[in-house]
Amino acid sequence: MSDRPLYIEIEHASKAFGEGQKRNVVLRDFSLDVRKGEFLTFFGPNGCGKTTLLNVIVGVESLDEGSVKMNGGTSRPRVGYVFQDYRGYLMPWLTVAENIAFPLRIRGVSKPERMSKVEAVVARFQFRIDLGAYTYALSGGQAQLTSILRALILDPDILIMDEPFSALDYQTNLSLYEKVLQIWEATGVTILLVSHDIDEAIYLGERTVFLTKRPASVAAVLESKLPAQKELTQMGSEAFASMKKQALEIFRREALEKSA
Amino acid sequence: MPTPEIRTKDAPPAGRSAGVRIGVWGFALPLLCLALWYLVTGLKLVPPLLVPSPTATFRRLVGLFLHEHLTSDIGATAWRWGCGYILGCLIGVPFGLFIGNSRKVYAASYPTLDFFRSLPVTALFPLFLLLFGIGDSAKIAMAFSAALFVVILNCAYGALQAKETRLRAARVFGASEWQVFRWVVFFEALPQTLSGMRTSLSLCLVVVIVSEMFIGTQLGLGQRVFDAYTVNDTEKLYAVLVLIGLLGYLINRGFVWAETRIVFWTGK
Ligand SMILES: Nc1ncnc2c1ncn2[C@@H]1O[C@H](COP(=O)(O)OP(=O)(O)OP(=O)(O)O)[C@@H](O)[C@H]1O
Ligand SMILES: [Mg+2]
Repeated sequence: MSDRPLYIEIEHASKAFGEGQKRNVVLRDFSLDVRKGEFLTFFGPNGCGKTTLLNVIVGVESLDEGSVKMNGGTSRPRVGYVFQDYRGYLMPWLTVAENIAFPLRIRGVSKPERMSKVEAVVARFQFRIDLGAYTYALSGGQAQLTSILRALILDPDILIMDEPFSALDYQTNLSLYEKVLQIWEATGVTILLVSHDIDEAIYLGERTVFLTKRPASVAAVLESKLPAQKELTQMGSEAFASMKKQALEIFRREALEKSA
Repeated sequence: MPTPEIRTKDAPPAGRSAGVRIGVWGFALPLLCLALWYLVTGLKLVPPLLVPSPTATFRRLVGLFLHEHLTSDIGATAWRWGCGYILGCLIGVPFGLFIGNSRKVYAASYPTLDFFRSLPVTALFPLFLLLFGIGDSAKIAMAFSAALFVVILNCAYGALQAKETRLRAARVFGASEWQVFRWVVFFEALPQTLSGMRTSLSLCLVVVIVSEMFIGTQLGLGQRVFDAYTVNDTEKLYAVLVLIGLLGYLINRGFVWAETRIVFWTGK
């Protein structure tokens, strides 16, 4: 893994919202290196600053101190982003198809070409979704799927996923794990995925970053012990169980430290 | 492992229909008013010189169409109304959206705009007379000014209220500021834009009528109202007023009809 080049370098990042009494420090001296093509998952308590961290990485939120360097600061990578509040980030005046194609429209791709690309990405995921529907008529899960497909339409260099599976049922989750892993293997995209589900985080990630309470910093990084070729049955394996045990250790230590 | 259908935890949100249906009940109150009108005039509760009967009023209205070139009056008023309104929208919509697109510009221009919006244009008619003379242009300019500020303020407010999340989504996917404006802010502001355009449509008609009464003209509904008033012809006065009311109502209904179809996603 270490033979892959450095891709994202986060150095001593600090970020606070508000001022004076209301000042809310969300990131404090946060440092992390991500290698190209890595599948990294983040796990941390509610409100610790996970979404803020992702926004800082893609540059829609600025830092107070420290820096985020991408690709050695050379070129701007293509970003696919699955937002946590998936519904609030979809355009209600566009159909599902046009929502998925939105990043293409920004790049001036013509309508027929957009539609054929949308059909291709939908076919690749083998999901039945009504492309002509408007997003206000979608269920939470369908809206989330729309948001995921929109993130994938550009063949991104970096795929950011902020709790992308929260509104989907378990069976759909499992099938999406496979799809995401498949895409990751096929394209070499770098994936940063935030999860509230510990099984999901340690199953998917090559490394899982455990975050502290707010202000977020790295509590621990857990390397995956699963075989490179992942299969869902590995969730019942010996290695998985030992990783989960380690994760519980990390939680306990964090909880004790904070209350001490 | 193809999954045939996406199963989800939550159901689609129960959307409330954006437009309230008028239905049969919407006609009950107008009919009641009409009945009351018949009653009051039929029982001679008020002198007919002050309130003529509905029958006399409607007969007179037909007479106005047949013998007193009312169609030309309607045409003249509609022309001033349309010109002022369309010009006001053509300039007000882009200007308003531009102002609302930036918090700073909005903060800087809001007090000024609100001041001009609060000035009654009809009270400024001497100024318009000085600037534009007594022809059509003064009346059109008054209608234009009335529409302009209402449209600007509504558009600016709509653009200002654009959801931060959607702007952010567009930026993350690489949209330029112009693209964010064109593909997100414009649509976010559209419901409020149309609502402003609808409000100023009625306002414009009022302003045109009043300007015709104040400034005077050959043809125009305001002039007919004024004529009727000066010779105490209340039948004619009521006939023209009823016509103006109906005209405003019908145009407004048409606008609402189009509006709910254009911004179909609101209230969902
Ligand atoms: N734009 C903002 N302005 C002010 N405060 C903000 C803003 N965005 C986030 N915050 C605050 O920063 C803190 C971290 O928020 P963030 O959304 O990054 O947490 P999170 O770890 O993603 O939470 P969750 O687990 O609920 O998704 C919270 O206290 C939140 O209130
Ligand atoms: Mg979050």
